[in-house]
Amino acid sequence: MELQEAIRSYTQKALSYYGDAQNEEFFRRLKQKEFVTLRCTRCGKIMFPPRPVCPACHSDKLAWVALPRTGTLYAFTQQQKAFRFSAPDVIGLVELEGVGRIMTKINGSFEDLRIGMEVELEFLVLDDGGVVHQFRPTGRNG
Amino acid sequence: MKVNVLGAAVTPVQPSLKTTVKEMILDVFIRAVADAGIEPGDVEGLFITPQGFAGMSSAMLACNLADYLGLSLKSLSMEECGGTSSTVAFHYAMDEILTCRNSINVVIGLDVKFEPFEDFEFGLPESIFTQHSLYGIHFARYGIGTPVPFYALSSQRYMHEYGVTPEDAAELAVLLRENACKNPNAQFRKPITKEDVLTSRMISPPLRLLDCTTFSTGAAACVLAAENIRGKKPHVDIRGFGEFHHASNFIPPQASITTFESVRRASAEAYGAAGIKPGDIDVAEVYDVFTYTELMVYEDLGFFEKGTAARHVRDGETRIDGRLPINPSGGRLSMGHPAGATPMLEFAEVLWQLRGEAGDRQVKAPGLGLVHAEHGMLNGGIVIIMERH
Repeated sequence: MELQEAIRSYTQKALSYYGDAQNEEFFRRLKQKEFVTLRCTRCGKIMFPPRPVCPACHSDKLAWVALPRTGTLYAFTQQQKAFRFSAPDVIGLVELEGVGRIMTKINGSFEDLRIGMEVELEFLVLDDGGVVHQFRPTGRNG
Repeated sequence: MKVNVLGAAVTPVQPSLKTTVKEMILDVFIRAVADAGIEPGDVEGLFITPQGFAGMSSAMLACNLADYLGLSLKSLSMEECGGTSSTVAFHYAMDEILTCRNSINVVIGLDVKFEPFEDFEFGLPESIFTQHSLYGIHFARYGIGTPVPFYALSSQRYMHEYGVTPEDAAELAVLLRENACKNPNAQFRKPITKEDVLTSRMISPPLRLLDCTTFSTGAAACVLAAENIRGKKPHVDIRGFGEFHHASNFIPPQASITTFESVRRASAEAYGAAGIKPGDIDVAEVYDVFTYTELMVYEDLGFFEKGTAARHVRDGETRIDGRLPINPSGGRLSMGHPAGATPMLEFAEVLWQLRGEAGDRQVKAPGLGLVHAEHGMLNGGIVIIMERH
């Protein structure tokens, strides 16, 4: 538990240096089981991860929009030594329509995964109470 | 207006710090200046990198060095931009000559091994702060503690899109090791076989241990001068320079992860400045730290068609005695990878090749040499082209 406390404390310190309000809001909404990002109201760009200014046109007029809850597995791997999560830690890129490929945890065994599989969103509750997104195969194709 | 390359010096690439950081800097500085045939007091500008990606602070190291090296300088700086840091320092040093402020500048890249793969470091709570800084706040939350998974995802896509196999990657790893065996400064000099690569420990599939380089310790220096100043060695100068930083961090949501804009744009700028084509290059040192991505970089530098680098490597074209020798030093995979120093190690290798001083790994009479450096997962890149006259 001392280790968990230290991880939490150093994460907070890192976020106080390198974070932003949009990152904080993203994870606050994940805790409420909302999977959202920001869309530029000027040029229409959907950005991920969320940030204060549109990377396409630099407008700060942004609005939260829901992200698709199903996508396609674009690539995947696993870390034999995991940082924060239990090993092996399966991670991948999931292609969301209109958004692009996002990095995510994958709930599935490495051996059973295939590029092109349909995957769907899940919320993973961590020991520290935080929530992260993960995707698992729907079994509908691939 | 041209910039001459007068000299260079490197330390052997080591798994850990053998002397102190300052002794390492002093060592390459003194030997590079001697190689250039000038006196230390002739140096007008000193441009260095931090002492590593992570770990202890490098603050004020450059300021300290003016005293330690006994140099009164017109320019003094420490430059940081990930793996390209020493080439960014090089860019500054080159520009101070091109704008006629300075006549002789020294660039020093250095790095002290950072050990994120060891359990005691990997899980250390203090390292979490560094991980957020290195990989970004979003990726860090998803457990990214090293760049390896990013490259694994890129490698898997490369296999998927172009039919490249683990055997292809192993072929490259074995060739680089053969080259390193001829390089007394390389960290890894025990011969390996394809079987060794294909059965080495899995790190992050498809990347096995011998598909990856390792963080190392080392330093390298080079001496640049105005075009009217010649050293005592054969005349080599800078023919082209290119730099490009793509608006992305490791894995972009839309841009390709099997072909890299930074490599294509930086090299196109350098080829344009030199008035040459990729096929004119006689020897190249490229910066990549995993087998599959190294193949992609060969392609993005314009040496081979997309998806065909493995075939050209298999045909022996990139060997020391091949049509286009690449990474005769052993490359990052077998020379070892002190990231801050790596591009200057490459630069020194190309300089020695052009001068005909590369010993057992000498490429036959090269005239044009290329050095490539990158940061992130090829998010930014710098390309330097040199010519022997």
